[in-house]
Amino acid sequence: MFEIETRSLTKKYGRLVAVNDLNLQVTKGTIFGFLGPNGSGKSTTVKMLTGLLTPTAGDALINGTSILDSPLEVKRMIGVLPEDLALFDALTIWEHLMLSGPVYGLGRKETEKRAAELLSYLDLASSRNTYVEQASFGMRKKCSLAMALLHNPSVLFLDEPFEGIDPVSSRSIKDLLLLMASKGATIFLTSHILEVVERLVTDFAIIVAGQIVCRQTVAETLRAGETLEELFFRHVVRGDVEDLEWIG
Amino acid sequence: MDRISTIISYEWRAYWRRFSRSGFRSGTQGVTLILSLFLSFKYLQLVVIASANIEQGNPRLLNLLLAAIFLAWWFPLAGSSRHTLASRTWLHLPLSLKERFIVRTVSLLLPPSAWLVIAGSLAILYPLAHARNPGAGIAAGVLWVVFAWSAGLTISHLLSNATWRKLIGFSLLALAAIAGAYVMRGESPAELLSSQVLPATLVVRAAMGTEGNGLAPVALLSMLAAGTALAAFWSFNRSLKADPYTGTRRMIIGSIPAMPGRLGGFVAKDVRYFRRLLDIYLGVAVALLGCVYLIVSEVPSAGIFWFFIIAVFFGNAAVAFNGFGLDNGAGLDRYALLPLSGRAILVSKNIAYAIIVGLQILPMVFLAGWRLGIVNNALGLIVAASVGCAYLAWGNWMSVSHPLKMQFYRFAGSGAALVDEMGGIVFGSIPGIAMIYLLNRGGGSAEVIAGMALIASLTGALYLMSVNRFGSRFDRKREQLAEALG
Repeated sequence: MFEIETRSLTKKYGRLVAVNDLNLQVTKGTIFGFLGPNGSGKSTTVKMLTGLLTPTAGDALINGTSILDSPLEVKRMIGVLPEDLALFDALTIWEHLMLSGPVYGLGRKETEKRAAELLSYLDLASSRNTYVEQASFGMRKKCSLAMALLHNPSVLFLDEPFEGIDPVSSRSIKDLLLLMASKGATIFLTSHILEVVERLVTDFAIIVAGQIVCRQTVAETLRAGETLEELFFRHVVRGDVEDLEWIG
Repeated sequence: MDRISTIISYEWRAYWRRFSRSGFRSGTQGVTLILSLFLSFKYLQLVVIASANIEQGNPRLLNLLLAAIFLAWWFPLAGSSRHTLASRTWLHLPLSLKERFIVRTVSLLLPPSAWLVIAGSLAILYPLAHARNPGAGIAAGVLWVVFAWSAGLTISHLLSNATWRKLIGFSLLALAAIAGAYVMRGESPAELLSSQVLPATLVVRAAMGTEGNGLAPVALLSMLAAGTALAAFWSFNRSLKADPYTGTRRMIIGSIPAMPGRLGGFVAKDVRYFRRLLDIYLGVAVALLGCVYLIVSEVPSAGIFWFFIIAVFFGNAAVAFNGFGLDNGAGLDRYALLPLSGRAILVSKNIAYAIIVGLQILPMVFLAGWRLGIVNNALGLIVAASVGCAYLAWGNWMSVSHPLKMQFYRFAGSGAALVDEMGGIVFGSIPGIAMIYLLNRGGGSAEVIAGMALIASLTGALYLMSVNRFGSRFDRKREQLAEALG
């Protein structure tokens, strides 16, 4: 059984088809990279898989459970770092974690213990009483990531986890993801930073205009004598553009 | 000026786009228009009567209308959006302070509600033109409008600072308490508005020519208008430069205790959010008046105590009817990511509302226990529970069906949902009014208690049905809500 499986997953906004008939399988314990240019349908796919958007057609299964039939059951299994971070402006970083724990059935003491450890790991301990509206983008992203990890989910969806993160925290997050995957967690991430993806993921897919144009493992790519960047630019072609003569 | 007109034209476009996104329905639009026309007609009738009165030397109604205009300028300003191109977010644009101030002031006049206030303000010049001293009267009237507009602007700017917010809040509560004590002593509210210490009387004095040619009151009003206009400019500059978070951290962390249970964090969050909406302080002012009544009145009546309870709910209507208005798209996404049903989310909002209203009613309840006895006190609690359930039953529908963006430290704009809000206020107040009717109709206490128990059961059942129905609807409509709230 696949840990993540989409079946003809489709999302339309009027005439615009954001994701078209997506069929994808990710096995347990994989760090899966979902790549593509802006507006290709990456975030829309993540949003559908995590319950933020309702698919126009098709379904997806997380650990065998349908996101349409049992959304709450799926949400208990997954942790999500969404594109917009989904934080409440007027709460502190610590309050976000304390709000989240009990919803997943964690007791107060356990939530406090895990929250303190996570914030320390993500170098946020000294900023725990900072309001989200006052926090930097990186701090907010780490807060949202901590919320995604707090309940130790078996499947993790991360939308651009390394964007806006300092190198030290980025390294810590990578180490953590590798540790989680080694313990059986499945990680589905989107990123534009191809070098990081190449070093971190085992499997990946490239999506362009809502359709998967490439699906293989990093090992296969390297065996073919290509880098991930070369493969990416082979599939994502930039149209002809004129120079901006008025610049400079 | 080209730059300013370009910015204003985009502000205009953005305003109407936001307006159309807020779920405005054509049926509601029609009723709102009819209602506005009706109110405008009634207002114009009052203006004509005031004109006739002033010709006969009676300025009481004119005083009332001037006070109404003064307050009318506050509400659209205090409920205005802060996300204009003149705000802090756009400080990087190469605009001078003067240009920003112009953008700010003009953008406040974009909503149709502001047009009504302008029209109403101009209409007040009609009775002034019929006074003994029309020239001075009209000049004083114009200055009064400038004064009201500038005072409203100043307050709306100062609301972005925590210290000023507290100061303004305490001042308003003190004024409400003084007014309450004055009225409880048996004095007429109209007499209070005619008091010589209030600046509105300067307009009347100028128009009536009680001090010769009326130049002295006009000069005083000129100074007041110039002073408040300068204050508006100064406060605008300050609001751009000041750290909006100064002073808020300690107050919030220290005053919101952690709440138990699975939804405790959400309840605490919503109590904090709701507390930042200015509307609830109308409820606080009403509760304060209720307390003054219960302390000062020689023989307090249970019916009036219950009436005050109903009025407190009226003051908090915006919170009941627009539970998601202070959330944004990201916040709604968090709700969607967590394993929480729509019903649970609605219940957490409703508990937060009950805490906010409960805290306002509590002092009155204690005082009622002292002045009216335990039985009337307990019956008052039943009234509060029934009215609360009715408000929430209606409010859960509105919160999910007609979400409207609200902002911290501003009044909730009623906008598109005005008619639904009025319907909700009537619906929410009916159980309380029915209970007051039962009390005043006479009959045995057993009959009154049975009637009240029946009403309470009905409203309780209605509330449970609304949580069930609109909780499910929230699950289905969450994406649209997130879009409407931005």
